[in-house]
Amino acid sequence: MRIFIKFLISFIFFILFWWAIQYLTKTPSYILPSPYIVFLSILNNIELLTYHSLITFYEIIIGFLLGTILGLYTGILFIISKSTRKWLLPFIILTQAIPIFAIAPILTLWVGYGIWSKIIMTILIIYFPITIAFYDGLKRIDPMIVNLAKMMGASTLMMLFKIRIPFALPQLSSGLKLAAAFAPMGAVIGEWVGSSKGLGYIMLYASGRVQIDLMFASIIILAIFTIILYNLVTFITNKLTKWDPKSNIN
Amino acid sequence: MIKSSSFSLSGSLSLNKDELFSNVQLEIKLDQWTIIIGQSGTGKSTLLKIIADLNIPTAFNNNISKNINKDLSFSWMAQNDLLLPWLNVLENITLGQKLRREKIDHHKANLLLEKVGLIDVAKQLPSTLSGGMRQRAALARTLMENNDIILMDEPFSSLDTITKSKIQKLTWSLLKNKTVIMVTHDPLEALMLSNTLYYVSNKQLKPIKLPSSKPLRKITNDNLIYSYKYILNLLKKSYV
Repeated sequence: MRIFIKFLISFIFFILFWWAIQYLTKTPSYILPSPYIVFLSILNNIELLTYHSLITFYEIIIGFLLGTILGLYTGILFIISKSTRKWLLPFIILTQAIPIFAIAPILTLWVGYGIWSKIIMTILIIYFPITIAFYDGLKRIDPMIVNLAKMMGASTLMMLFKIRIPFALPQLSSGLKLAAAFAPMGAVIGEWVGSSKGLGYIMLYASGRVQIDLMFASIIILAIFTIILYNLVTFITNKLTKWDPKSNIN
Repeated sequence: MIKSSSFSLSGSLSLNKDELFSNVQLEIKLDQWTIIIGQSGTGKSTLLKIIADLNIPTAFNNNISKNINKDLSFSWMAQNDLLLPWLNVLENITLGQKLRREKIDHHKANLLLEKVGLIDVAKQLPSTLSGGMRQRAALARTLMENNDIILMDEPFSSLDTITKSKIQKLTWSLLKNKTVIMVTHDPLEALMLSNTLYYVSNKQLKPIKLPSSKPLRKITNDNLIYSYKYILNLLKKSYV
């Protein structure tokens, strides 16, 4: 509840700041619409925005879930197989050096204009922070804790699930929070490059017709969804790491 | 089969190119407390890890051979209590059984918690406990495992004087008939608790003659004060 109130206060301040800038600089509404005009645009286009928002949210959520599963799997693979880590890690780092905008058209070409090119874009964007954060958490464990578990007769699986993974949760939480903030970017970039649906498509459509209020409406909806996703991930990870005082500093 | 009353180690240990132990000879008597005292960085803790067959960093060149019955099991107590922060005290104590997928013996765990005075905080997380309480939880975990040999790597060094004294006495009373190999920097602790005492000098482990009284010695009479000063002198000479 406290987080919600803080978020509401920040949002009100942001709207006031936006309104003040628009009012004081007398910027025409076709360049910077006032919050009120954007609010009216949301109301007037509610059906259109709801339809396209749901598509984008679906891409983000599926991409986030699949990217998380893939990142967790890779992190575990890195810790149990030295050769996989040795060969795959440089390749993963290399993929991060390629701008995501350069990959998007290729993906659209390969996978098509449907939602899967956007989901894969989302996965590509979040895969790296989740994998590296989780792997880092898994390897940072005190070697004496691993030794202690070995002396207690822990099997490799028990060591992984009862010792290493819980120990890695605080680091993984940081990776998941980053992923929650980046995931919408992946989906929207995918929609910009080639799509006839989604908020990214609406942004381009509105921009082409100088409907700046509709463009802003799309951005606001995407921002609100990103904040909700981030807070949801934070809430879940805080529950999972409530034993760690460092992860729960207010 | 006749159970051997001791086991031994011999050989050398080096870190990179620096020799830590040269042709070291160590005999550990079972069901007794053997303490090794010496300067930091002389390889005492690594020696404990070698005894338990634990992983040691690759920078070490280990040429120590062991004459140890392979069936012997080991427990570890260190300065860091190694309690898992996401498990409560009771879950930490029964961790071994959980990892081996055995039935959890809550009755035994509760009895041990009572013995170490932690029954009231059984459901609390380690982060809510004091250093002394955490070390007592580690002691209960060791007792729960009931292994043949207990390796202690400066287990009391981070505690304040009064807590340290209390936990030393508690640990001794609960483990007095077990085989304990302890590494410490504290001559007083070594003198109080050991049946056999070694000190590290010139890359060797040399035995120190102890007073005839039994462990948990009280350093109150002149004879023991003399022994304490004697050990301090030996250590001073062995320091580089």
